[in-house]
Amino acid sequence: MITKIKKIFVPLLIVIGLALSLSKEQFDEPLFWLDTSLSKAVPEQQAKLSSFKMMPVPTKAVHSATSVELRNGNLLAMWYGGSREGHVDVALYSAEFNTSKQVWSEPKKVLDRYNAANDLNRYIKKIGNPVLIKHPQGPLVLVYVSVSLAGWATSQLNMALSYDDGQTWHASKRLVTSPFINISTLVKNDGVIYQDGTIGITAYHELLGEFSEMVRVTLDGEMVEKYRMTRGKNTIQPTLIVKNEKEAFALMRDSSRSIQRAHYADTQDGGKTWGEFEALDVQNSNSAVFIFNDKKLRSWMVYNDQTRDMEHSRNNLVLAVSNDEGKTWKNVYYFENKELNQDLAEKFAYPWVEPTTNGEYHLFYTWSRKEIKHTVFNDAWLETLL
Amino acid sequence: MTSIFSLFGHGIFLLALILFIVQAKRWGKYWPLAYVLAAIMVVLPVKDWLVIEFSRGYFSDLSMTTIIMCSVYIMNVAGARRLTSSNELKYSVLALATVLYPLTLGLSMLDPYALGFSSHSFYPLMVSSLAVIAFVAWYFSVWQLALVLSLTLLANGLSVYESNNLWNYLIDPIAVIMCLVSLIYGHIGSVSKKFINKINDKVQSDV
Repeated sequence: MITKIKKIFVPLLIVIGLALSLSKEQFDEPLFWLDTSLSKAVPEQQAKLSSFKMMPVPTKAVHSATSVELRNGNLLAMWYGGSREGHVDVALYSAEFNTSKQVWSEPKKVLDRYNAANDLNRYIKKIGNPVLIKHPQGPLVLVYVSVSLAGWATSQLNMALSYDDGQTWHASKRLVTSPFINISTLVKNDGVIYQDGTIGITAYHELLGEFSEMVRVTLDGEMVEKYRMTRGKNTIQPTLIVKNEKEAFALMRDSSRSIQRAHYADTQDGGKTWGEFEALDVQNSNSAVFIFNDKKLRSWMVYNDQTRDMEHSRNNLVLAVSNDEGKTWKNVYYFENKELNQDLAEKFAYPWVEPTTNGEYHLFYTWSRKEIKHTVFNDAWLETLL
Repeated sequence: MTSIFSLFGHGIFLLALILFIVQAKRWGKYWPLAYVLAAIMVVLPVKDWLVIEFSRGYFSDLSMTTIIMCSVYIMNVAGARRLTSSNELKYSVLALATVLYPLTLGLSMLDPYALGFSSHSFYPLMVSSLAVIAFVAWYFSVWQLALVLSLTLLANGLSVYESNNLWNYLIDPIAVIMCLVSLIYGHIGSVSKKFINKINDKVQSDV
């Protein structure tokens, strides 16, 4: 009887399995979607540079801010906060910036590890970096890191959607991105949208190898594909500038322990394959960098400049400009510690810049892990730095 | 739905693990008691979670290889059939892991894991190759390997887990560890058996 089952049942399973596997949905080759709303002309502006503190922050420690522009022109920011990084009480918080009144709303808790565990039907030890992506079809996409096993190197990615501009969030979905018990995929920087509506999450891997990759998912949280950007042990937290539907370049944080420089890589095929990455002449102290374009398609970068103080390398935050699509950079303005006279123990890290349709740029960064600082500037101000 | 399949897999894994830890094989006619105890432990609440939820949190969804190997062990304990995991399956898993894991952990720009997504240009080739290997294994009566591969194709085709990648249905580190431990244990067992037989022969010839 068992032999008969083996003889008939197993080949039948193979044929059905093969047919089902071959009939799975296939997606087109990746082509970047270009957000034209940001390149529209805006009325003549006065140079503007102003700062806001997102206070009161309800937790002792905060880190890793992210932001998107809402449909009403306001900004939604999100970050994680708790007793300290990696503590079990860490939760994601959000607040809304009213651009007409220039005030922040009270921060509110978005989700904690228990909410994530309920959605995902499993144990969650802690949660971390959130990234917000505005999808052209309407919803806001939240991608965030969670850990069940050990440290950050065992992180996993989750995704949730909001159809009411961040007021409520649908249940989180787990993204399976690795064959190694699905561990070690993290996020920090902005994602991209593809022309077929799929999302390119700029992710990175931290277990044994430390490298960058693009994780392509549908709006439903189904994995489409994964594209490796770098290899090896020292290029994480990619940040992207899309030039056209096929071309983009990325800068990455150097996570090595030797001489640390920001790394550069580019793609000619929508991020499917990436050229050999190279170290730039930008000394960066194993800390996050963020790049963005202005309306004249000049590239700008916010980062920690290591050349000023090797020992206290996150004790400054600088804006640099590139006129050759990210190959060479020139420092033009220090957002923090301009005169190099502040308390050296202070750290300014994890920048995020959100360009808005009114021609402004909203910079967020962690201010000594105590608060998220918010600085606004515009194209006219950027022009003054050139 | 994916949670049900995943938790079912973790149930089998935990059952096998607990039966192994309590050495249920040595319980003789009381083996059903070991089964009941193990089944209760799988759903015990610890703090705010069940043991099975911890398992899913730590190890993610389990591959068909792990589930089949654990199932074989559970049946082996029950003694209904003297089943053991086949060496062909174990060596195949180890060979695959030797190539897959170093490359996915960043050894080069080549990421074999990406081949497991249905949008990858090599995906049809990979799926077809697995089917061919499964048929060859079936033809030569390597049943466990054939069963693992056929269930992998079926589970992947039906997307029974959260994963959309063929590799996650085929292999995971737990399967690799089980294969490695089982082969080493088997090797030590056969060497010690030969050694004991040699001593016995010597003693008998001396007598």
